[in-house]
Amino acid sequence: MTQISPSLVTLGRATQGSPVEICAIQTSPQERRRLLGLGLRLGSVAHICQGPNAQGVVLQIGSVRIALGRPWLEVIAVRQRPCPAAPTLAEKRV
Amino acid sequence: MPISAGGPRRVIALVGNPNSGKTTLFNALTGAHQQVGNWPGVTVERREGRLRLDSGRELMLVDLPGVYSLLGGGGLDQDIARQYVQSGAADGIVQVVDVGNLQRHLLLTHELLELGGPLLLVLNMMDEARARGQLPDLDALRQRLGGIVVLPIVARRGEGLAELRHALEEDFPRADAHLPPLYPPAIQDILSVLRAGTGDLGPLDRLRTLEGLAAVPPEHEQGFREAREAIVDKTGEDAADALAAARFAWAEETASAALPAVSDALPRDTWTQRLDRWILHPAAGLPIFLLVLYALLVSSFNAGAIFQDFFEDSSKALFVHGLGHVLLAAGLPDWSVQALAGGLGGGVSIVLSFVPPIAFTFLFLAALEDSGYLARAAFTMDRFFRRLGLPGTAMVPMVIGFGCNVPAIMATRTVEDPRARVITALMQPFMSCSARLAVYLAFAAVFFRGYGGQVVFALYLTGILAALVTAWLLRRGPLRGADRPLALELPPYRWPGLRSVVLHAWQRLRVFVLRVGKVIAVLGAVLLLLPGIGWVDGGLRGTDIDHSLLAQGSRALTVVFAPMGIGEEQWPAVAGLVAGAMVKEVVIGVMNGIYQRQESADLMAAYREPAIGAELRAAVLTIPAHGREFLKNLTDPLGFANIGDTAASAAAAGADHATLRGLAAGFTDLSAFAYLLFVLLYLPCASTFAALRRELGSRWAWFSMVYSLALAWLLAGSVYQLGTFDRHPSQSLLWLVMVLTVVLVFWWWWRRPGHIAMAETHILGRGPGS
Repeated sequence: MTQISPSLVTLGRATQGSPVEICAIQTSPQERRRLLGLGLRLGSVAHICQGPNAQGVVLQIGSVRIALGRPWLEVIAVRQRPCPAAPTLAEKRV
Repeated sequence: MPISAGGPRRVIALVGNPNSGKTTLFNALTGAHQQVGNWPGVTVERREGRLRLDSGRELMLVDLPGVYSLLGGGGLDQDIARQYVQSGAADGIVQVVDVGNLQRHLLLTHELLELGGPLLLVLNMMDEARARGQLPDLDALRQRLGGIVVLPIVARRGEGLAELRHALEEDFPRADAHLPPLYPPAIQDILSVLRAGTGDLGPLDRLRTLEGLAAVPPEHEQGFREAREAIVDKTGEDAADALAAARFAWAEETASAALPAVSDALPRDTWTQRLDRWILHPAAGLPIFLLVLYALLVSSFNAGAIFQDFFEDSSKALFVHGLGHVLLAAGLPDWSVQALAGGLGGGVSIVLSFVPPIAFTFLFLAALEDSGYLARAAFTMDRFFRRLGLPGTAMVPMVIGFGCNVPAIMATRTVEDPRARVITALMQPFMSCSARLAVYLAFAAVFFRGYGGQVVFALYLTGILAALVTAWLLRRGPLRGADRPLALELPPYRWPGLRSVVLHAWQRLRVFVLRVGKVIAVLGAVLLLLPGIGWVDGGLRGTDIDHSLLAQGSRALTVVFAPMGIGEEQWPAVAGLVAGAMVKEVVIGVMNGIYQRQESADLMAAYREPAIGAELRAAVLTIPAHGREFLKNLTDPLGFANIGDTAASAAAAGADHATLRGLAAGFTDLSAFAYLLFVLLYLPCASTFAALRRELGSRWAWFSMVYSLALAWLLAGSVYQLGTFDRHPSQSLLWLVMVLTVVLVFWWWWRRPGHIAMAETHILGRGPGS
């Protein structure tokens, strides 16, 4: 496990279903620009839809779903945020 | 970068993020009036089309590659788009935006506003926004964008296109003085100073340099250094982070001014999320992917086969027999009738026979692309292909290659990374196409009864192994370089639009027929001519196949095949290989012709008394017959079920009894297997070669030719020599030492740095430093 700071973990250690804040991206300027184009930047809040697993991870930022291959799991550091409250029955019916 | 020669026609460029619906809009506006080519010096597809407006004026629309940003991180596509929009070749730019992802798409708008040219914003997929209750305030958006034209459309349904066409009648405006600042004042001031000192650089090149995405020109080193230091002083961040943060803030403010507030929480369960749970599942994703590819294979090749004989037989009736009859009646000599009708006409017939399976492949692929599934398939397969340095997208062409290598090579366009795309295309000729299966079936019927299935399966596996070894070698030779980890957007699932799918498939098919077809027709004139004419009585005349140029040439060539146990008496098999270089389907056909000893056949009879009407009727009747076969073959798309049944195998391969007897007399089990190995690996057929040349350029096409021929010869020869080692140990040992020497010399030559630079500069279309 690559523990970057006490409150940060690599994306590979984040939990499925939880929102995370992107805190560090350790890669080349070109690759950072590529992630920026997809909407992934420092401070973005992403929901982990699938993974992290052997394939990588699927994130959702706003309404955009982004698939990241496994090599990204160790170069992106995130801070886990508390999960938002589950929608109430009334909200689900809307 | 001029678009087309001459004329005062206005040129409008379509720009947009991937999945914004840009190409759908391009298709909807230009219909069939499109030209597809490559951008100069590179293999990125360039599409332009004519648009006639209601006033009668005509526009040229250029569909630029889909990019998230013009600044960096996007590879060759992005370089092309940036160079084009900066060149000023277009009179205006239309940016296509998915209104559902407005904020992110506005990042590209920010870069286009930076350029300051005429810009029109098209908000696509308004129907989905309507369904979500997220309709944008268009006036607020126009105001935030400095008064440029903003139009809502649904490209897939044609909604809003009349208004767009109307807007295109006139020059559309640039953002006016009311455009709010693109950067915070502190950064804006620094950029103004930098702009004044670096006026020779394009606006986007200046930003790229400032952000460390391009090398600083020596004469501007001081200016950029000062600008970077000033940005750090003012913001506490480096230039790249500060500028990115400023753009995101601008896009966020602009989007929130136009759209109702959206919750930060994960949106409620949608169809896309529910489907992705299965399709992207680490365990279930792979079988689902294989199922989809199986459906692709069945639909493309079995459905294509329903019409294949119709296309082949009817075109043969018209372009071979019909044309031959007309030429004969015009008094042309026999040999020239053979050349023109049998050669050129035969070439056209072969091209047309490929049309049905390729058309179905393109239709199915276009539908998959439109549906949003291909991005998921790439993610699912990525973990397996990454080990070879290839992205997951490389799997799709490989599977298509089992049907036909030509559409497989064209399908490599879905591979984003240019290095990986070259490698994936060069792997395709080793995938055992359906034409090669015909040869396997004939030999299995004679030599491998009882275990034909295993032999054919081993050949398929050998092909896959050769493809994987080729990828490995290329990664360690001229195409060395860091892998780009997969990062892609997963678009929401959508029903493919019929018009868009058909137009997309038609464009690809047209390229195949016109460009690949030319090569096949010319080679056809040469290779189909050889069995029909020979040097007889001091001149070139129509003759029987035994005295043809093909027979004379094939006999001379048998010496090359001696290491794999093929002697002069098996020259018909060598002739099959020579003709098979044109198209693998004809290997057995040529052997049939030779083994039947066509001495009694009158070669010109079909031209003198053609039965064109009867041939056309028979061609039409093949459609219902093959339709019934299609239903029967749904469970066996590759036709393996015929293996083990001699009669069925021979029938499926099209081999007659004379051919089977001839093979049995001339080959042993071992030499037959060596021959099949050679058939599997040797030269890509003419259409595959043409496709490689078009997609990768002549150098790689010739490399594939020489490499596969050498690999086939060395491997097939080694199998035979090892199998017969006890009979002639010194000869076999000499062969094996020679093979080892060739491999070592190749390895040394292969890893020379000069090759890597050559590949970078000439093949991938970019300099080594970029």
